[in-house]
Amino acid sequence: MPHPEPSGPDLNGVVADANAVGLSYVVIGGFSVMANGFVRATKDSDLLVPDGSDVDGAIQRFLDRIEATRLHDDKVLSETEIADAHHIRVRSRHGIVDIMRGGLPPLDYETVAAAAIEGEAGGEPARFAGLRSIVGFKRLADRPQDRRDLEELEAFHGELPKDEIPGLDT
Amino acid sequence: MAPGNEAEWARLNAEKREYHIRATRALSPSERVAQGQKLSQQGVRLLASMIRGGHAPSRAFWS
Repeated sequence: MPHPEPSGPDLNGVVADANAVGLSYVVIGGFSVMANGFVRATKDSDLLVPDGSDVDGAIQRFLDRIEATRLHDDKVLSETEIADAHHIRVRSRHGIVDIMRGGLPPLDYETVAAAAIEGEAGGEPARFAGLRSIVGFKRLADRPQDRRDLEELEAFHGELPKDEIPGLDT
Repeated sequence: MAPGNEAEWARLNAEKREYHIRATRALSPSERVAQGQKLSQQGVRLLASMIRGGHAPSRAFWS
């Protein structure tokens, strides 16, 4: 099925709606790279949310509010599909949104949230992943864009902080 | 724009990077995100118009 024309990421709208439904999140991905010093374009908004069933209801309310459908098949996700998914990618009225549940420390939600930068987007409070967390995510993903991000962040900050990543360094 | 000018290009690229780093340092994290959001929306609009005009394949966005 052909995709409709894409729209750019509206992080302000994502943050406002996540706050409105009480979803705990940290902004990761391209927007967190920008907050940490490399301003570049991105196609989507990425949120890290806590793992566990406690957050499923808030994710459901958030997806309803942003009028989300799953990106690859345009399906409105059911409660079961949300509960089973570690990673949810949707199209929404705020553009494409990726929702990821926290992984193993140091890339679990609690660690990333504790080290996050407090900021705002469109006047709404928002938390952005800190440099140490971004470096971990980028080292793990290791796509060409991730390597470019690390190169630019190093040019901005100097030597980057590196935590041991399970499965990558051990 | 010819082979053999690599050193000149490297100097120009370094100057450009330094300029962007200085400009970004002057912004708060939230201001950087606001700037990046505008850039992203402009970029997606441009890409969409290229796809509409047949100058880029539709998979260019979804890759």
